[in-house]
Parts: sequence; C-alpha cells; structure tokens
Amino acid sequence: MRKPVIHQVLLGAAEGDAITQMAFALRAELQKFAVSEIYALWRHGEVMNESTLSLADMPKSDETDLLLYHSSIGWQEMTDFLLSRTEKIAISYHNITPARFYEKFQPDFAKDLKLGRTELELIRHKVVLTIADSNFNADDIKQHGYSDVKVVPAGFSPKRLCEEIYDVYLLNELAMEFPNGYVIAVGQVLPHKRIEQVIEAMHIMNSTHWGNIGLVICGVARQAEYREAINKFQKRCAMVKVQFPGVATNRQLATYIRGARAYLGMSDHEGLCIPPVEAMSLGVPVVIKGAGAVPETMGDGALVLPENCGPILAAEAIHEVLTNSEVRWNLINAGYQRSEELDSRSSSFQTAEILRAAV
Amino acid sequence: MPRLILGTFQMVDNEKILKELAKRVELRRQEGRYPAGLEQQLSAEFDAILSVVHRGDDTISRIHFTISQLAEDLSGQNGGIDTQSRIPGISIIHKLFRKLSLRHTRRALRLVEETLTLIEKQLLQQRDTDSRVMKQLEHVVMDRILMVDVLAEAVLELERKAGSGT
Repeated sequence: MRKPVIHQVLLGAAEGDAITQMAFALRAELQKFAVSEIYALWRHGEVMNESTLSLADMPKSDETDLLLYHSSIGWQEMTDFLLSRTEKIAISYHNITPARFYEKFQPDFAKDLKLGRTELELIRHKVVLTIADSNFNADDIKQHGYSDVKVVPAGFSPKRLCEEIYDVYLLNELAMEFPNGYVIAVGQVLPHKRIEQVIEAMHIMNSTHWGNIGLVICGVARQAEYREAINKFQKRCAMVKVQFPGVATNRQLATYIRGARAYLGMSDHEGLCIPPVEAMSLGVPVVIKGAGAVPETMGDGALVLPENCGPILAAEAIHEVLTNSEVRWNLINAGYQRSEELDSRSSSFQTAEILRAAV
Repeated sequence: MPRLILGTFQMVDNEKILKELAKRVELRRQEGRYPAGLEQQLSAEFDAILSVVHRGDDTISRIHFTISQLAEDLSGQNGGIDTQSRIPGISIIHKLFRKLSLRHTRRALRLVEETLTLIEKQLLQQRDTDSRVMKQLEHVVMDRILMVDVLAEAVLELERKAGSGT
C-alpha cells in the first residue's frame, strides 16, 4: 500500500526558532507512517539548508496528499503559493502578532502581519483541517471565519532540552561574569516581547534591593532598530549587567537556562509561549506577565503577573522568588510538574494522527 | 533524568503572592523607594530612544531608492517609458512620443536626480554629526544619572539606618 504524502510548509526555517523546532518534532512522528518533509521559503544557516528543503522544490500537488502550513505571519509569495496548490491543506496556527505593536515604528512589518491575517481569509476555502496550539489561538483564528478548530500544540516538546548536557565552559564563563547569579529571558528580541521592561525590572530590583543580579537575554534580534534602541537603553539602566548571546545551540540554551536563578518574561502578546515551559522542565522558577495564552500555558506552574503589570511589580516578584526559599521551592516543583503534564500530552503523536485522518 | 520532586510542596497561590507583592510595592512607594512616575519615566525614555533610532533612516532610504530609480530610468534606452501596445502599429507612435518626451524631460530629470543626491548627502552628514553629538551627550548624561542613582540610594540607606536607630 502506498504511504501517504504529508509535507509541512514554513515561511522561514531557523535554528532556535520555536515553530521550526515544532515542525521537526512533527516530521519525526509523521515519517513513521508517511512520506514527509519540511519545505521553507527561507532557510537560515547551514543546518537548515541540510535539514529542510526549498519551497521551490516542492513536488506537484498531484504528488502530495496533504500540506500542513504553519501560519505566523504573511508574505505575498507564500500566499500565492498556497493559492496555487490543489491538494488538501491543513493549517497549524501559531498566532499572528497584532499589527498595532508595530504600526508606529515598523510599518512594513505591520503590513506583513496584516497580510498574514488577510492570507488566513484568502486560503480558508482550501483548508480541510485547522489546528491551533492553544485555546487563545483557536479563538483568534475563529475570528477569521474558521470553525472546528482542534487545539493541540503540534510538535511542542516541553522537555526537549532536558537531555542536553551542560556546556561546562559556558557555565564557567557565566559564573565569572555574574558572580551573584543571573535571571534569564528567552525569546526573539522584538518590540512586543517588551525586552526593555525586562531590563527595567532588573534595574529596579537591583537598585532597590542591592542584588547585583545579572540578566541574560537569549534570542535572535530580528529588527536592527529595536536592538539598537535596547542597546542604548541598557546604558540608562546601569544597575543591571546584561548579556545578549544571540543565536544559541540547544546545548548552550539548556546551559544558559539551567544556570539561571529565575526566568522572567514581560511579553505583551504570546500565542503559546514555549521558553518558560522549557525553563520549568529544567527546574528554573518562572515569573511571567500573563499576556495572551500565557496563563493557559503556564497553568499553576509559574508566578503569573497581571497582564497590565509594570516593571516595579515584576522587580518585586523576581526579588521574592530569589529570596523566599519556600516560594522558590514551591514554584520550582510546580513548574516541573506542569512541564511533565504538558509533555505527557504527547502532542506530536496526537497531531500526526489527526493529520493521518485528514488525508 | 533525575526527578526534581523530592518532598512535599504546596501549589503556588498566585493570588496570595500577588496581593502581598502589591502591598509591598505600595509600602515602598510611600517610603519613596519607588518614586512616583518611575515606570512612566523609564517608558518615555525608551520611546524617545526608539524614535531617535528610527528618525531619518526611512526618509534617507526612500530618497536613496528614488535616486536609484531615476538613475536607472535615465540610463535606460527607454527612460522608464513602456512603448508596447496591443494595437498593431501603435508602438511606433509610442516610440516617437517617447523620444520627444525624453528630449524635453531628460534635463529636468537629471536636475531632480542631482538635487536628491545633494539632499541625501546633506542628510547623511547631518546624521553623522547628530550621532557624534548624541554619543557625547549620552555619555555625560548617563554618568550624571548613574551618580544621582547611587547618591539617592545612599541617602535612602542612611535614612533607613537612621530610622531603625542603628
């Protein structure tokens, strides 16, 4: 009997990118019963060139049973590609950041975000299966006329970093750089992630409590202007020493997280929010602003701050987690339990089965 | 994989902790450790930096793009004018008009190109100067802010010590 052909389509494939990681986990599951590859319009770096294929090489529609498109932003070329296809299309919706966050300073990026939402409506008639990775995302895509949305975090592996071994040299460097320890934030350096608020919170905490705790912000800077502004702002917030490692391998990322005394997130918009769950799985207490899908994903595993909270409350929360051993211990355990819960849902397998049924 | 859960632990009571933290923030505000408007001030400073980072860059790149398009049109055979027509024979008329219009507008286009090039050059020079001045100012202001922050902390610490009688 012929194996079903189920390919995944990404706009961009990059190391350290959460959606790419999810696509990899899903491909491993799909390849157990189907012919399955990942095709991307842009492939960043050698690793991606080897492990994914170019969208230009995508087989013809009559050679494919189902395409799983990962939606998170818009791009005209991708919209045209999807509209030109005749096979069944499934969509995995990871959330499109509302354009309002970028309209003032990055109108071009805001335009791409708006196009992403227009694309959802343009391809809707072709979509046979809709998957959202959180209830928050399901509600969001329903606003674009989609119904019967299956909520499953496709390819989300909360404990993927647990098997990584320590990079002892890096750990040593971190110990030298931050003798009193450091707090970590993981994610792309983008305006809606409110990296400036993370820096403000740590600056306020160190100024108020004389903590001299460092800050590591681990993630790719996608927008040069925002990164430059953060760089200048760092000088203003002189009470905190900040390190930006940029792109990190899984081993490095696991080391950065394990070595941290706490995780802090101040993002204003999240469709799922994977990094804090990875921190939980590695025994790091998490303090995070409850924006978007964050409360749903964190469950009882993190100290979730109000959605409108500012850096002062975040500073107090981080100080509490660093100094109150009872809160810290409870939070570490609760976080660990939450990551186990999410892992036990085995989303890759579940998603692969849903896709198999849709062929 | 070692398990972290070794003994008993209580689930985190988010609400209780947040209430306690909010109380603490209020207390510190009253003590003056969190000056009124601190968050707004930091946010405004960041917005100001962001607007400086963005200011001008888009205009310069737009001018640059326009210049390159002009140069491309001027150097091309047809000056950016399409002479194709679906009606047989009409292409020749289009070509004639193109020749005529190029003859009259080429000089004006060259002047526009030269003017835009001068504006771009001027803007780039201005940006470099601004950047140098900003760097110097930034250095001085940051030093002062840091000194004020440290002094303010020292005063508060002294007040605390005086208050507790130590």
